[in-house]
Amino acid sequence: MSIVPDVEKFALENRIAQLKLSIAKGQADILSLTLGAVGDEYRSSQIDALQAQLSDLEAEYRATYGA
Amino acid sequence: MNDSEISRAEMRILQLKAMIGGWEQEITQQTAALDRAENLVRRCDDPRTPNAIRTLKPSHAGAWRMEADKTQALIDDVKPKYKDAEKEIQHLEGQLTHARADRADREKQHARLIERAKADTQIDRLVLEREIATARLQIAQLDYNQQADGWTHTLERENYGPLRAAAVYRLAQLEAEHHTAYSTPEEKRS
Repeated sequence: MSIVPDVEKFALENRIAQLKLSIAKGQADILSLTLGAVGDEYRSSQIDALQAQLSDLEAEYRATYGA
Repeated sequence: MNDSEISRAEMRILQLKAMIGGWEQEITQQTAALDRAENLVRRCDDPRTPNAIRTLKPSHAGAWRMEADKTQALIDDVKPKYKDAEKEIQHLEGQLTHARADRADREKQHARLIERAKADTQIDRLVLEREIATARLQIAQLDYNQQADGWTHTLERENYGPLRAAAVYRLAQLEAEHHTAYSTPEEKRS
């Protein structure tokens, strides 16, 4: 039995975990009071982009491996 | 201005407003007394008023003058106090506006710090979860390389067993850490 799917599944889980971490770090930066309004806005747009990537990856994961 | 100073300023404003209300009431009452005295004098000037009453005009006129003097004295007394009280209220309200804005800022900052602390806790958890995901991937990758002979380094092929054992051990450690830190009491009991 091939274990390639395991590698792919764990690679996807790894990317999802990394994205969740990046989003949480970005949100924490906004709360750190050091960025200023412009920085907050920039970081928010980055977080939105990461959230979109995360939604795509989670949808891919559900479609391939179930919930 | 700290919270107790804000409370004291608010109390002082209420006290000053009550004093102003008291003076206004005194002036209203005195003005009413003046009006009544004036009316009596006017009645004495009315030809329809009985003579017996009209003869009292000098006395009523005296009372009217007295009430007029009292009214003026009251106004002279109250006017500067009224002005001072209004000035003090204005000053205190100005201070309170700043103090309330400062307090709102402090509360906002405090709320943000709490949120930041929560975010840091969440980051710690996500770091651990990413490490777990990485360890699982590493094991799967080792197994894949072993099965498909996809090794890129001879050293890895020769050390598949120890490498896998180390990765499994590391994963077990990380999962135990996650369980200890984030499992609910029910999950810990099971």
